[in-house]
Amino acid sequence: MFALVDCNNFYVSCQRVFEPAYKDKPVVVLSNNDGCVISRSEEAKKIGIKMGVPAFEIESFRVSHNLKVYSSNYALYGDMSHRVMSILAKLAPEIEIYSIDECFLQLTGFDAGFDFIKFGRELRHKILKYTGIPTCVGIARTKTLAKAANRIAKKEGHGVFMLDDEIDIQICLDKLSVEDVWGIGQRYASKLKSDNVVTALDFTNMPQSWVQKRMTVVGVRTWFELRGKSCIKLEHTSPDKKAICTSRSFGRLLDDFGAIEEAVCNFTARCAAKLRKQKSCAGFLIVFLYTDYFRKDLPQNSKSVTIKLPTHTNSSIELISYACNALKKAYSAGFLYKKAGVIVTDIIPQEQVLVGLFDEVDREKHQKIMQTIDKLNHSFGREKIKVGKQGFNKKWHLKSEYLSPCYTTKLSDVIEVS
Amino acid sequence: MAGLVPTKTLKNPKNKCRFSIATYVIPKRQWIKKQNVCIQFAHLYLSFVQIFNSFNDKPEFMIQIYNLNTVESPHLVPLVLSPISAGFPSPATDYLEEGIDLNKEVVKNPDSTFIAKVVGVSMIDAGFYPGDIIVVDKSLNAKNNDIAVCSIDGEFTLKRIKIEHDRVFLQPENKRFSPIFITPENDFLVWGIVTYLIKKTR
Repeated sequence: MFALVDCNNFYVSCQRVFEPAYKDKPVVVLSNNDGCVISRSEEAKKIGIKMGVPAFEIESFRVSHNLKVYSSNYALYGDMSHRVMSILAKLAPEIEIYSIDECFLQLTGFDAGFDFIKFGRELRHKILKYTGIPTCVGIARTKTLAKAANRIAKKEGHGVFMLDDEIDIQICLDKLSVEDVWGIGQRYASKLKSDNVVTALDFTNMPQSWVQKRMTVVGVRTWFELRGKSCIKLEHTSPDKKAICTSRSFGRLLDDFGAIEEAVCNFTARCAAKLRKQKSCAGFLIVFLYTDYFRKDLPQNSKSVTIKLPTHTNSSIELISYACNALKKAYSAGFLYKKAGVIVTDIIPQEQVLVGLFDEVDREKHQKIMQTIDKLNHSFGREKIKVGKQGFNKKWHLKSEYLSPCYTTKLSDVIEVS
Repeated sequence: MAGLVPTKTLKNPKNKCRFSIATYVIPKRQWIKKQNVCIQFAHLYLSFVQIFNSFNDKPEFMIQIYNLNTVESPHLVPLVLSPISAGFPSPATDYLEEGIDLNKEVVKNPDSTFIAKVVGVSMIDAGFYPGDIIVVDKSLNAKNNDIAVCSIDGEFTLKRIKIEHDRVFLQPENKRFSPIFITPENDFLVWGIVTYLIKKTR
């Protein structure tokens, strides 16, 4: 048996734990840079706020419906997520953290008469009591069915739903449209629909060879899963990334080279830190720079520059110097830029780095410096020590006008009680 | 032993060895630093040797360490299995314990523990002064006389919980404040139970 535990409106719920005044009020959380709506309370959904609408469109609701708006506070959500996952890890034999607010549990080795629904209710109750976060639990024989069961648990409002009975499964799959099946993306869904396969039940009724032909083995796996045969196991470790990208929209349009350079240096440092965390080095570095596509009145200029590094590296110092060179090629004066980013790719484990014959960089020294910086930043806070080029101006910094305190990660930000 | 000078007695690096401290002799102190990896291996080997030793009366062992930096022939380091008399081994070794970890003492359940700060004077007679830090555990169930962080009609408040027959009220610890009686009309929640009060004294 598998269970999928999903936190309800997770970002909004995190905010509400520390602001009980907004318990029954419409609340939304905006994406990075206060761009668009990414999490809505049930009340916000009811007054017609759609997922993904830009922030300026909901401005009027703040007055008319007393809508509470938050900028995203990932320090808070990360900590709350960690608490939820930690509780689950103690209650289930095996778990897979699927995203910041979803977790699969593998429930094997229980007696035949084990009451899974009761177990699900206890999970929910415990997480709510311990952290204040409401959740929904879907239970079924496969991960894909557990995901479907979770949708029902959420919609029908009981919070726990088990999908085990054959007839129940048929009814549920008939109501589920193919694009909502876990593992079937938009592109496959539209392809399937053109073949008159609209619901998940239609999909499971197609012959295996038909699915194999159109959707390869991945589709067949989903097909088996929906028919109750578990093919997708829990993933315990996330595989190391093949490419790492750090990219942000600027808080406002920038034309000044210095400010953009500072941003790019910071993105590069972030990529380098991620590389070091997974103990690997990159061989290619890509810097890209975009003007604001939506401002048709402004001249457009978007460019990306790729650099092959002479030796694979994860040193912030080295990567930043290459990133600056790349940026010089990508940048032209006279444009207003909206977004920049850095991608590092051709990632290999750091033990497999081949040093060039004419390599003049003291790699051992770099490694020591990076280790020291990582250690210091770990104990004194992110980016306490950084490369000089990363600067202090922060003109590029994200907009987050409605940021709440970091209630759980900063002593100066904890709740106050009288 | 000829030609080797016992310069340093190495202790187990992490004190995690289940066996008593191994002592052995290494020729040059400088050399030890360079060969850190080998030395760690030697530790492992020694642990193994010691188990073996406990079954034998007079064993003889040699550890072979290869110097990675040069092409010289491997160094042969004889192993001394009885403690060398470079001082009496510390009698405290078997009793080593970790230090006191306040996190562990104060935070019994990290998943459900939150930190809050006291503002206002309603609990001053119970010792809660403005600026004090309190540790709040959400996992505990409220009992009569617990001090708790409650949310009442959307506001956080710190009070002593009194449960009497069929009614619940919040008792401030300051004569200038009066108790708050909870009615069904109130939106009331015991947010968490205060388990520790932390004060700064200078």
